[in-house]
Amino acid sequence: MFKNIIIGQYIPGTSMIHGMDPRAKLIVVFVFIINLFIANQFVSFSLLTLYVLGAFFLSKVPIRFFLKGLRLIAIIIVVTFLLHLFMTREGEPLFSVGFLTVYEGGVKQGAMISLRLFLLVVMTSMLTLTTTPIALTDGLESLFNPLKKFGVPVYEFALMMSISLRFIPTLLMETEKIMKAQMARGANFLHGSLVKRVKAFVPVLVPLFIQAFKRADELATAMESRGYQGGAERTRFRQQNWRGLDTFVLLTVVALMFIVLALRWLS
Amino acid sequence: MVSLLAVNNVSFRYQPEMPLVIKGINLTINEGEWLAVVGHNGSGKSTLAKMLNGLLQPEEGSVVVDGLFTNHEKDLSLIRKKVGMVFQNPENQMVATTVKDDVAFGLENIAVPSEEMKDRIENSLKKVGMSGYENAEPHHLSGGQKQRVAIAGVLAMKPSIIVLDEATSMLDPEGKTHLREVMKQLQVNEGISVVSITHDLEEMRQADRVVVMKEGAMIAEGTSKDVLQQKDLLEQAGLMLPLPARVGDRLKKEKGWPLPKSVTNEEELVEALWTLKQKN
Ligand SMILES: Nc1ncnc2c1ncn2[C@@H]1O[C@H](COP(=O)(O)OP(=O)(O)OP(=O)(O)O)[C@@H](O)[C@H]1O
Ligand SMILES: [Mg+2]
Repeated sequence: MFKNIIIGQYIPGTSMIHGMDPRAKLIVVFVFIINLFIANQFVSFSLLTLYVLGAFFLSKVPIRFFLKGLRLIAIIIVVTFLLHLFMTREGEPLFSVGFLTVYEGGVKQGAMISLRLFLLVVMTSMLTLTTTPIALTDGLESLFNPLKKFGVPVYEFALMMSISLRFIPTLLMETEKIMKAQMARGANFLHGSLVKRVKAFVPVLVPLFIQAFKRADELATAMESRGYQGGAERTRFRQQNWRGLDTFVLLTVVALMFIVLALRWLS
Repeated sequence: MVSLLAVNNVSFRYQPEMPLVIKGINLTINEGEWLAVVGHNGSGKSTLAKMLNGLLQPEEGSVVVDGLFTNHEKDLSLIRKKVGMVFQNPENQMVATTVKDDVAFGLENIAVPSEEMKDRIENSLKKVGMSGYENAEPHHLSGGQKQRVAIAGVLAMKPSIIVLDEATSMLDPEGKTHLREVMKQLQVNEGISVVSITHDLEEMRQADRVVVMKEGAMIAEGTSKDVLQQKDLLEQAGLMLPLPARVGDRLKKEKGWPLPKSVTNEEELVEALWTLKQKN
């Protein structure tokens, strides 16, 4: 059932985008999202779309992986578009369907908002498709590092996150094992009312939780015996290296920000 | 013989008011030796093991590793570098999402510079026969492989003692044999002392010295051959004799065959039977 699970959506590759520093990717995506919300001109949106297209080709990730991520969000995009289409009363009326009249402003507004959502999803997928969860965790950790000064346990959060990533497959496989054991005793997870099916899960969750606590306890002992001391200074095996390329990509997205800002200001 | 670790008259209980779990144990671990600790379930083996690297502190007495006392908080980091531990459940010791990151975990803890880590990781993975698995994820490894990664993680820290707390008990026979071989190699080639807590007679046979525990006390100590011959002692320790030894035993007892005293494995049994046949 859970044999071939992949954590996150990472698609291994050697593209230029795969090779970027996770910190750079995180910042670039963040700035890009800001750009999306500043943009209010046709030209701005064309530029942003081109930017995403460029990233798509450079990443060499097959399009079907992006479509997978879009499948869920597609409904939201369509609904948002329709809502804006019918609810906005600005500009020239274009045509009416029954009691609903579509205005020019509605088309514009609807297109803009759904394009914004679409680009946002593609760009964040780009991040998760080209970066391993663990590299993302490392990147987030070092970006949030300054918060340590204010007593935020940044490192501990990152460690928690990476241990969770490590144990997700373990827990899934265990769930499967317990489910099979319960099925052998006649439990039915697939049929019956919703309440019945949810109830059938209780005897799965209880042993799962008990096991998880036991695991946590043993893992803590193993970590301690390997010299882990909370709060102590540690060195890091995974080194992040920020290269010229990272700076360059960051500059492109910042340049884009200036253009989008200028266009907004001029209009 | 150089003693690396000394357990001096140690007693321990988990909670005040509770009975003692370890009762006045004295033990030394020498450089390069293989010491097996056997005993019934609940006899205090794991508790004793956890005191060897300061995971637990003795209530009375002291544990001294290379001149460092485990009850000195500031020495703990160094003690844990010197005394590595591998536990029973392979699944619950891997911290990281890949093999190489996991081996690095201990090195990060003792602040080894990152440039030095790569070599150390490669080296220790090679010694446990796990080269080529650097990027493997834990859920794609067998139990035996995970245990070998755990050993590599300890090995990378350049320990002088490795304590195995029933580290082979959850493995299949093949995995058990492989792990024992790896440990033997480490003992012979690297001069690392091995303390193996075990219910497995094969593992006990591999030991230079065996300590038998019962209800928190040490009831016997001797070479593995000595201990293996004392049937009632083994029974007290909850250990089953290997099949050839039991066969030899019953041939002596029930048939009155004059077999030599020291039948502990298959070869010895075959040898004894041959000698007997030739004599008649
Ligand atoms: N965390 C704990 N708190 C309280 N009592 C404990 C704890 N751990 C173990 N004990 C008790 O201490 C005694 C010795 O346990 P220990 O785990 O050391 O035995 P063991 O020889 O390792 O047994 P096994 O062969 O089952 O692993 C047992 O009676 C056990 O119930
Ligand atoms: Mg035990």
